[in-house]
Amino acid sequence: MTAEAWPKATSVPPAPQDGEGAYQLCAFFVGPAEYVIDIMRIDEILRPQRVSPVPNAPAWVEGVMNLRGAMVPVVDLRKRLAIAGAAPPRMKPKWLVTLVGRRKVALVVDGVSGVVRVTRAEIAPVPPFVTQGVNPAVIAACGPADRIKLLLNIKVLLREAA
Amino acid sequence: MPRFEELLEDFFYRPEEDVGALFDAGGIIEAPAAAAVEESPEEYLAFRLADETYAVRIGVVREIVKVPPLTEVPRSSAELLGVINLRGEVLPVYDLKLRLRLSTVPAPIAGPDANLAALPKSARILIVHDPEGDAGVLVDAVLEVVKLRPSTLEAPPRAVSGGDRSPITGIGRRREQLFILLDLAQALP
Repeated sequence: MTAEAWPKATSVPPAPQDGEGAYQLCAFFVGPAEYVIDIMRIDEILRPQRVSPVPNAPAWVEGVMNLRGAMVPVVDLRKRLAIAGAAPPRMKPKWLVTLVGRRKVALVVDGVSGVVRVTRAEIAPVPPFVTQGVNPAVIAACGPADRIKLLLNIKVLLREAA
Repeated sequence: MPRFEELLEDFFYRPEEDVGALFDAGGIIEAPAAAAVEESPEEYLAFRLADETYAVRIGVVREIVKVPPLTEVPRSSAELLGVINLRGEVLPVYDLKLRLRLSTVPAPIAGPDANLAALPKSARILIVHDPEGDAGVLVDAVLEVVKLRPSTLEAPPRAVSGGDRSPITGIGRRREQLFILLDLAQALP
């Protein structure tokens, strides 16, 4: 799964990306749980890189990296989501360079598990009492019972209050 | 369930999505992802040839010399005006107007009927780099060095570029002024 093989972000409104009405989502592990984000958000996937810590940044910000001249913040999703517990074996840590608007943020994950296709009907909301606050980072869930994947709201994650 | 739909809007990516104050000053800032690569203009030497303005990449021009009396080379083609002795180096000088079929008579600057006075006072010889050996080309006047952005260059009209070895590589434009871009390696024999 190389970065080059991923579709580049284009000005596509949130609409199914193929003819069968399915969305393509990028699935990854942080700790024991599997998460998905819109594949259109993925700019590239990197192996862990050198990161420069930034003083006084939130604890979940590992620092910044220099991605071919652009300063990209690096966010540790494990810390941000307060996740304990190990990822499944044979997962390799990766950095997802994720588009937020026209900016990039690198998300540190325990491993990328692949691309999943889900239709809108397969996405079910998660009750608010499961997640916390008015702006939950986990919006919804999808997938079969033995492999539920949680839809992450990256924009909410990046907001200051943890 | 409007609230859930709103959240899904946030989930799916749109380049123009609202990111609030996430990346404003005070937070962590990075250059826009789609930062346009700074396009550096390229320099061309503009010169006049039969009332039109032509331009060649500045890199191909070695030097510009005034027109000295040339030594005619017997039995050479009409396009070869003669040879010039440039500080001991003998270089051929071509008539670009003849090459480009802008004229049918070679410029009278070599041989028995040489008449340098018939040339415009501004006439110069451009000494240019050529893969097959440096050469001189006679032009009516050297105008200036123009900076043209590669993105503003236009392909030559198809009617202009006859054949696949056309010496005309494009048209440069600076406001109203047009520059015919020449590839001298193609224009010279």
